[in-house]
Amino acid sequence: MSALELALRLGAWLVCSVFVLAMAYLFHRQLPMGRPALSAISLMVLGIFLTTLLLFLAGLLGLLRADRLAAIGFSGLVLMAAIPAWRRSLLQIPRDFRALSHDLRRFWGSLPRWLRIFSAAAVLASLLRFAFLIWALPPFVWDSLTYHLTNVAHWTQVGKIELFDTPILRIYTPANYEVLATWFTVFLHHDAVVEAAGIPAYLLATTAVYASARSLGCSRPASWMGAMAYASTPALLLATTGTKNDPHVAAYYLTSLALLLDLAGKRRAVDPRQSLSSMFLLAVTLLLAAGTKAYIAHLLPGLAAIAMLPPGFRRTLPHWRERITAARQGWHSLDAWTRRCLMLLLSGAVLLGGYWNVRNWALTGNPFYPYGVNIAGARIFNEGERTARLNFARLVDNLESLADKFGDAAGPIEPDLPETTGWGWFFYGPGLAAVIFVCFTHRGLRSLAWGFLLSLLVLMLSIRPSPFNMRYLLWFPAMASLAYSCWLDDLPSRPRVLPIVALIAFGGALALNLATTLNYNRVSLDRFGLMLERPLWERQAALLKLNMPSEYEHAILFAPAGEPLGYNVGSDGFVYPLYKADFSQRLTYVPVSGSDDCGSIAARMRERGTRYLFVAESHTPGEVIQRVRDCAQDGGSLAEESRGLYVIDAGS
Amino acid sequence: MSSARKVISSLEFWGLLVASTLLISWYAYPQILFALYPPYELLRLLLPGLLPDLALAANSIWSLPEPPR
Repeated sequence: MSALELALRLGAWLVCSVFVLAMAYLFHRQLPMGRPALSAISLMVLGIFLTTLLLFLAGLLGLLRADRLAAIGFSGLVLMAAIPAWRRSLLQIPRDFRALSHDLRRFWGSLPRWLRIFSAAAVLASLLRFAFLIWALPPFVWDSLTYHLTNVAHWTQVGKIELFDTPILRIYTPANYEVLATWFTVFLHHDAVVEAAGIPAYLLATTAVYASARSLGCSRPASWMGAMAYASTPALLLATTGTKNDPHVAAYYLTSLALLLDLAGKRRAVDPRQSLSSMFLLAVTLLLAAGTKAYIAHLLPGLAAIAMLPPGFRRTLPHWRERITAARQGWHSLDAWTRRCLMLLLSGAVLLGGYWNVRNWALTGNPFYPYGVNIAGARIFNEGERTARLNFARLVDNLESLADKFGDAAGPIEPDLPETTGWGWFFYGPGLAAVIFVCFTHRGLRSLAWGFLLSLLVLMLSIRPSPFNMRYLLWFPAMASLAYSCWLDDLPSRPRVLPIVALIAFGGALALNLATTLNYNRVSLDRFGLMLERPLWERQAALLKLNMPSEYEHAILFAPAGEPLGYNVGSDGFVYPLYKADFSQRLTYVPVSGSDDCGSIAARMRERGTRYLFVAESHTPGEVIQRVRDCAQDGGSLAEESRGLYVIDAGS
Repeated sequence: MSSARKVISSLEFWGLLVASTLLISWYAYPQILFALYPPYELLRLLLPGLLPDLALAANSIWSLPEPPR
């Protein structure tokens, strides 16, 4: 990529970013939250939501290209400047920025000196770690290479959000995260920074923990320490730059928690506009989550319990009736134009929340395709390669698996969490002890603990027992962080040794959490070396040689760039690395079975418009590999170009 | 804060500290090895040739087979 092209692409990204931020700001002004932490959450949720919505609509219209997105962004900015009400709002940005800066200074000033120093060091270390890992490594996590990034690569390549022919049926699952991840590939037309797609969710989740702690009555320093503790959770850190969608679901769960705690809190005066804002954002967040991963539905009973318990069982109905009445008043206090804008925003959220399932329903008759649904033995939806079952056998299996992993004794914490919970040093040390203590002394936290437990149990009742299912619980360690925040405020300041010992325990746990995630516990020095000796634009997932056979590297090196590459992998095979980091390799799926004769394999390749067929050990079914090898050895129409790469009509 | 409350708070603190220490001790093995190895590797990168390569020993601890998908 030339310097000029890079500058133009970055310019397009900047224009579009300014447009989305301006839109988010305009809506944010209509949704006053009343507290700085909740205001920050509002701005972040709106930013994530509007970015996803913009790309989603552009993708459906086939406009997923840097130049077209820049044109949309520029036109949008001109339109905003032309509408007087919006222009007046945008002119308030400097004033609001000064207010934000004042709030941040007040927050920073409220922290004790040692915590300021510790926080600055922790934020700096975290920034350096994120930046280095994003810059140095290409994506390598299993689920991403199988289906998350396969969608992203195809959409970026063709400039359109669409389904395509592939054996990876999980490309059908709700894909709001993948749409957002496309924001990090479409402008550069490269995956160099795609691992940053988890950062917005990471920041949102951390801020939500802070806001929840404040709603529970914790002081600013205690809430900040709880948020930092949660931010250091190894499973969250690894998933954030692991191009997975679970940090997003965790962030939406914790955001909903923060909004519900604010709404359910008895101490807060009922303000019509603030009640409306919280409820509106809650709806947008949950709809965004529904279009990201279906298991948010399994977490809802826990959230409902958290909404009901703080006011007390008897007070629940009157309390929520009062809140809803206030929100209705807030709605009627808005002018017609603002109401229309908010309705449009909510329609966008409904679209993002329901599109994927409605599309699947229309195409396959099953909204949850490729997952069939089975409740207590009764089949609700048949179609699918996997089945989501709701029964107690799964609960027992999953709880046994959780018990085996509890304590992280079986192995290092890796992004897929095959042997561990990934909750880390803070959770299993001060965090767990604080949960036990605070549950006896803090009524609000007891309610919260019941809600978290209910979310966990309902999830365990329904998810497929699998060695990799701990990734669904990234939100759970927030419980320990909130308990720790509540406990910190009760900590006596004398004798001086008490806060010093507490700080050493806290700092030590966070440092160990960070240390264990420096290289994902997976990537050795020589693999980093392999990548760092290449320029940024040439770092390919297939060349990392970490978790895939050498056939992928051969395909990258030897498949001709100008021709489509045929591939055959199973339903869990890696497809993403074949696109190449700059999405230049066109792909076409070639269905082959072990019983096909050589002539029909060649005919199918021609029919799909390719001369090349890629197969790989442990990704392509064994009988297909054997069949293709036999055809090449027979000296018929197929010839082996390099390991795993076969060609027909080699001479032409 | 009354003196009785201070005593209770202090006991609560030391109780929590003891509980945390016990829990961390339980958690520490083998996680301490997994936590210290990446910074050791980083140090080896920054100080080439000064520190021994422990990759073989490390692999023998944690090269677990990948569970089936």
